[in-house]
Amino acid sequence: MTSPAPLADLLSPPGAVITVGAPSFDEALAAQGVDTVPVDWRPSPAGSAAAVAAVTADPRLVDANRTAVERMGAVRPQLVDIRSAAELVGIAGRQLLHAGPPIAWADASGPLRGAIVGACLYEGWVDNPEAAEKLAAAGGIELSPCHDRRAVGPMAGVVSPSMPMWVLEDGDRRAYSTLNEGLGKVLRYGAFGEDITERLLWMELVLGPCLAEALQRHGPVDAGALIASMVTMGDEGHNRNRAGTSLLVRALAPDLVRTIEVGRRRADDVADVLSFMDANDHFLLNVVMAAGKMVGDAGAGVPGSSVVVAMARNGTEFGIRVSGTGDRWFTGPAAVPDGLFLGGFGPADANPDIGDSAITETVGLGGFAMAGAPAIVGLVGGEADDARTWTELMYQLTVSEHPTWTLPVLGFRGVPFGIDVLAVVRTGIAPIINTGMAGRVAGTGQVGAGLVRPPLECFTAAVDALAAEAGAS
Amino acid sequence: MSELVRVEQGRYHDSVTLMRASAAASAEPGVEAVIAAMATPLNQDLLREAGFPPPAAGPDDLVMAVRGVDEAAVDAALAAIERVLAERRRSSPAGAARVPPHTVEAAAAERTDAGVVLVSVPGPYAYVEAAAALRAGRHVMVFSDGVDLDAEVALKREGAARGRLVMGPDCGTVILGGVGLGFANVVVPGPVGLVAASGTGAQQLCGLLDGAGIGVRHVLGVGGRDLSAPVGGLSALAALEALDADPHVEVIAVVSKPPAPEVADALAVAAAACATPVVLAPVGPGCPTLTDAAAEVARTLGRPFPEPDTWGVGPVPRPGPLLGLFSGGTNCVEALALLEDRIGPVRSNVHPDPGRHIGPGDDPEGAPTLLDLGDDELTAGRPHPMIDPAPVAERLAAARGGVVLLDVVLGHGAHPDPASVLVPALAATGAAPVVTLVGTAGDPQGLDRQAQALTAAGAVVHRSLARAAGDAAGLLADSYRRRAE
Amino acid sequence: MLVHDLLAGPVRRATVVAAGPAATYLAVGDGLVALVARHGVRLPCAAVLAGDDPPPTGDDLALGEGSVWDGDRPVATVRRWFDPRVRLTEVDPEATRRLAARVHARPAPDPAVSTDAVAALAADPGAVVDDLLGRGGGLTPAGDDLLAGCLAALRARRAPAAEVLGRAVRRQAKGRTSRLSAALLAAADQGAVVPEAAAVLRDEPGATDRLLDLGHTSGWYLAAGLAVGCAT
Repeated sequence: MTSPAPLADLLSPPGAVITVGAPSFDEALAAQGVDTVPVDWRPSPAGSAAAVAAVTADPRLVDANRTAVERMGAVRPQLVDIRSAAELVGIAGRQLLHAGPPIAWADASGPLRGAIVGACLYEGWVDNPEAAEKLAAAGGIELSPCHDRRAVGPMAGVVSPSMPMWVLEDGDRRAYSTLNEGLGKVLRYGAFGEDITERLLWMELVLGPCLAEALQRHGPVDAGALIASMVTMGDEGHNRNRAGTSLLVRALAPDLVRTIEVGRRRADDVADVLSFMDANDHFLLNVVMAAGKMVGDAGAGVPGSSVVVAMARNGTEFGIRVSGTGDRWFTGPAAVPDGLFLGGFGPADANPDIGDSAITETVGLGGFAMAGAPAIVGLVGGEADDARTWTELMYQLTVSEHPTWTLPVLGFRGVPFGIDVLAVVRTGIAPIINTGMAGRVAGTGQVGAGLVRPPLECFTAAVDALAAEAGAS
Repeated sequence: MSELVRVEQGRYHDSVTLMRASAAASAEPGVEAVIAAMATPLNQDLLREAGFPPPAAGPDDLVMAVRGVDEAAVDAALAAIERVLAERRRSSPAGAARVPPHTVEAAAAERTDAGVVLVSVPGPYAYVEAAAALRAGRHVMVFSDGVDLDAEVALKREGAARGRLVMGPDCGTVILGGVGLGFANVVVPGPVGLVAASGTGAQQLCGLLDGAGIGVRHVLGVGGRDLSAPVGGLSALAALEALDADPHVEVIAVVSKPPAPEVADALAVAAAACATPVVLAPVGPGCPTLTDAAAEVARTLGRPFPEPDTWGVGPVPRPGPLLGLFSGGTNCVEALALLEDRIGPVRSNVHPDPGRHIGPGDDPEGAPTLLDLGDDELTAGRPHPMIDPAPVAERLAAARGGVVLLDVVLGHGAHPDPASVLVPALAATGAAPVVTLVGTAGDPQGLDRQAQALTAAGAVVHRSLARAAGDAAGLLADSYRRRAE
Repeated sequence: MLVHDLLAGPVRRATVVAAGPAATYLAVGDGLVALVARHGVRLPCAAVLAGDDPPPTGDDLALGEGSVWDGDRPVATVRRWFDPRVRLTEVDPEATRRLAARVHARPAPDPAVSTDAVAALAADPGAVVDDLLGRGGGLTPAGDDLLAGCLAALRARRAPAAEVLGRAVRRQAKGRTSRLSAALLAAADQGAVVPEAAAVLRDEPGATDRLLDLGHTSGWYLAAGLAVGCAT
């Protein structure tokens, strides 16, 4: 037994060698009985090599990324309340929030325009859809991203002042999201009109308050723990939320019933609330998204860090935010997802990618957790084995693994956590997002579900920005 | 009652397989007792206790002893034993298709026992991959060239901080405990460790030592620029310390072009501080030859250093200029130094003196010229001449007279039969060919076979470049003398 | 590399003395070479085959000139040599204590060679050779493995007791045990062992458990022997 000498582990015949580059060396090593692990390497996109090298050379990088993911992994989001958007995100008058990076009415796609119209009608700012369009086109509606107000919204993600929103807390951290309307012709798919307005009103006057009271009686629901459970039950938190929704309903049902007992709520209303949640397999999505938003925000603002803290789409552009570059959005054109279509719909009917729901992938859920949700292939296409392959590939893009959101099928390995823009650019492999597809024409509703990737240019732009920042620091 | 004891000499199976075989045989109907085992003393006791007569067998022999109600039962038992023993498990096939690693980090996570990463991506990308290797806790060999100086320094500083060695950039040869990475010769792990800022220099030294029956255990390449002032010998100094600490290494040699003066000083200080004797072997003008260095290594070990092998007789001197065609950069440098010493100014595409520089496409106009055909300029987009000697062969065939001094480098990574490419050119050439054959007895190309083929085609072949250069100078002198006569 | 001369020298007939699923043991003259499949145990007298095929076996095998021959066809050629010998500059007594503790946390697997035998070896290595040689089951009996581990450790440390034990083993081994085991004892006499045991001598993390899991009983006895040899 000796104490380890300098580089002692180098001076013995290697059992295996990792090779990256010319494959000819693998043959010579194999002939010597040495295993080789060839890296499937390709050059990063043209013009990116110098920036990638500059960021890699930034002495802050390794520690900054570790700090970012530690902060993110330490978040314990608690579902505590439901309150109005006006109170929570400070919008009033003719102000609306929307999903994705900043966008103007002129550039907005069908579902987003439809949702804006629908919100105007619900708030009573106009009497008819044409008036809403004119108002918005004339710049009479102030639009800003949900992300800028600690909020997230699925699909069009439109938030108006009167809407009830989930409140998640962890210490000083906050995150908010609207309540999920259900499937079919709903505001988030750009539908507007009496039915939509009526539903939104019921949500504001009955659903929200009932759930708020039940929640207050129950006490905080540990959303982080709920997510940890649901990913072991076949959910991935973006396109499949069935088990998680059931867990939430189960948790709140007794306290919902108690509101009847003490005469605070009518039995019919409570029954309607329970039925409403039962009818919507995606009811929990908005809670999962808000939890993801809180996690992402926790990782933001670490100088020198290349970890992605937000991924979001507004139906026209896909945008990402990176920890070390503050509030900057790096954008590129949103793609149309590739997958399976409902009913008689086809690819021509699908809108480009839309929604803040990519926050789930940002924190290791959704497409990243597909290995635990193989049934998803029935919705998006592919074989059950593909689901696992996607998750295993995503580990190569992330800095770490989530401490508590673990996948039994992978031996309880934590989900891939902390997307590194450097890894994306080096490999040319973009994160995989598992998403619903909105109809191109406002109000069509969901036309299908599939897989989609952000454009690589978001990531190359982010690396360039980090390189400039590293050079300047 | 029927009983059989069969002995099969020299037939071995492991005890678990034999137990399974016994169990299978016992399950046959009518079988009362069965022992299938190697006839070790213990098993001999068991056989005796089971009432079987002692077999004439030793620990290397298989005994099958069966007792059954009748012969059929015994036969059935024996057949069962044979069935189990006949299953011969091959190594299991590769696991189900999994996601290949797209990054060094992913590969490192997959194989925690892979302590070394070999990077050979184009220069502008090499820093990132090498840094990834270091951060994954591995040593890294950077074969790539065209890496920025700043990047090299950053890499080596980070390596030092993490206790990992950066071998390169522009490092073509590494040997670890006898395993060769890159262009490396098959060596017998012996008492010698090399620190090499020059790949082909290390290869020649390995060949010379192999010829003397002295084995080389490690060659730690440090990259051609390591001993320059800006890099300061960071990797060479770490490599020296590592080899010094290895109890198997009894002498260390450091092969390089002459280092920057301050680095040479640091190296000398470090060498003096080593417990292991260190032979410094810079290659260049005024320096001892690598042959001298090999001899000194032998002397340090107290081993004889016989005259290095040569094959063939000297070719007939022919009037004409000296042309050198080298695939190994250091071979060219060593030859340059030796020949300038003997015959005066020689031009080269790698000459440090700009006044004696000549481009590889330029017309030598009869002046002595040594070309490094492995130089970066010439190998952009073409295979290195060690891999494909065709460029050497072309120029050799085109020589109209004089002497051609060339090197042939064997080993892993090199052309599988360089002689076959050169022999036609040797037949066609108008020059007298002198070859330095860099290789070891174990090289896949077959050292002797290559030497025989080259000499049969008219070349004289030396292990020692110094001897070859001497031959070349001698042939030139002879041809001048002849012309004068 | 112990087998360098047998493989690199002139071609000579080889006789199969034993064969298993991952190894063929060849006697060449007085020596023994184990042809081992790529992921089989790398014995110190092994030639490890690089491909995925099982090791060749048969009546017409020969070794020499760098290759293994079947008739006049080379079926495998040496592409790289490895040196199985271990040399240590010093031994850490704490590490030795840890090794012994880990070994003896498990019971001695072969009843023929008990912990008493280990203790006897520790007390006087040279005296128990006669008792231990060939003792136990398997192609490499437990007693041999125990002796080999001890001898290899003593040689690696260049301890004076190495020569005492080595001489006793050299004198008595032939004919007392299988040819393979005798070859492994000879290797141990040069400080050469399987890589798993070398890793233990170099105090690499996790090495002890890997050695203890080696083979059916060999690992435990090698490890026990190493512990004695390091402590002596």
